[in-house]
Amino acid sequence: MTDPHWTYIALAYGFAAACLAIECVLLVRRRRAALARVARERHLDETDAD
Amino acid sequence: MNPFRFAAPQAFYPLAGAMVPWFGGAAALLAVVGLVIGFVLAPTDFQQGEVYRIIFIHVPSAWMAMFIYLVMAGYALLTLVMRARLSGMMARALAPTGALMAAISLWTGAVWGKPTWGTWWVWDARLTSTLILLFLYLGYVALVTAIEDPQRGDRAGALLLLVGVVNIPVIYFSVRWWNTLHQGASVSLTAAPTMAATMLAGMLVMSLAAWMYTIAAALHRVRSIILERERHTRWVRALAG
Repeated sequence: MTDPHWTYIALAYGFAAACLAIECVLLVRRRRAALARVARERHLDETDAD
Repeated sequence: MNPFRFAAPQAFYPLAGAMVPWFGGAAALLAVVGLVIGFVLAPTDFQQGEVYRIIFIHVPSAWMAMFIYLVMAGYALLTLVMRARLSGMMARALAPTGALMAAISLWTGAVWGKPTWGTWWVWDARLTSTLILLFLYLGYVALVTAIEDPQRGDRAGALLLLVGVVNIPVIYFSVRWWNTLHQGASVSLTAAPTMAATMLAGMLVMSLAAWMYTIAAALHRVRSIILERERHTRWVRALAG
C-alpha cells in the first residue's frame, strides 16, 4: 500500500502547481486583452478621424 | 543615468519586459534544484517521516505572503507621499501573487496539519492571522477594482494596505506571543538552525525560486496594467501598431 504521507504531499504540491499554472495563464490572457484593447481603440479613433 | 526615470511608466515598461524572462527562467531553474534537494537529497525526518517534505513549499509560500504584503505597504507609502503613479500599479500587480502565496501556505499547512496534528485546521493564532492576511489581499483587490478612477483606487488601496500591515508582525510573532499549536520559527537569524543542512538548503533554494517567480509575475502583470491605464497615450498606441 502507498504511504499515505505521499498523498498529502501530492495534495500540497498539486494545489501549488495548479495555482501557479492558473496564474500564468491569467497573466498571459490579461496581457493579450490589454494589447487587443489598445489596438481596437486606436483603430476606432483612426476610423473616426477618417 | 538618472534611476528615477524608471518611475515613469513609459521608461519602466520596456525595462520590465526585458527582466521578465530572466526572473522567470531563474525561478524555474531554482525550483528544479530546490525540488531535487527536497525530494532526492534531503533525508526522511525521523519523527514525521516523508510528510515533512511539504515544508519545501509551505515555508517559502508563507514567507512570500508576508514579504509581498510588506513590499505592497512600501508602495502604498510612496503612492500617498510621493504620488508616484507606478507605485500604485506595482502594488496592484503584486496583490494577486500575494493572495496566491497566502492561499498556498494555508492549504499546504492544512494538508501538513492533518497527518501531524490530526486536524486540517485550528483557530490558532498563526493560522488565523494568516487567514486574515489572505482576506486583506482579497479585500485590497476588491477595493481597487471597485473604484473606477484608478488613482483614487490606488490611494484607497494604499490606506487599506497601511492599516493592514499591523497584521504582519502579528503573524510573525504569533508563535511567541501565544501558546499555539504551530511550531516556532523554522529559521532564525540569532540561533543555529535546528534542521539538517540539506533540508535547510532545499527550503532556502525554494524560497529563492518563490522570490524570482513573484518578481517575474509582478513585472509581467504591471506591464498589462500600464497598457490598460496609458492606452490613450501616443507611446502605447505605437506599441499596438
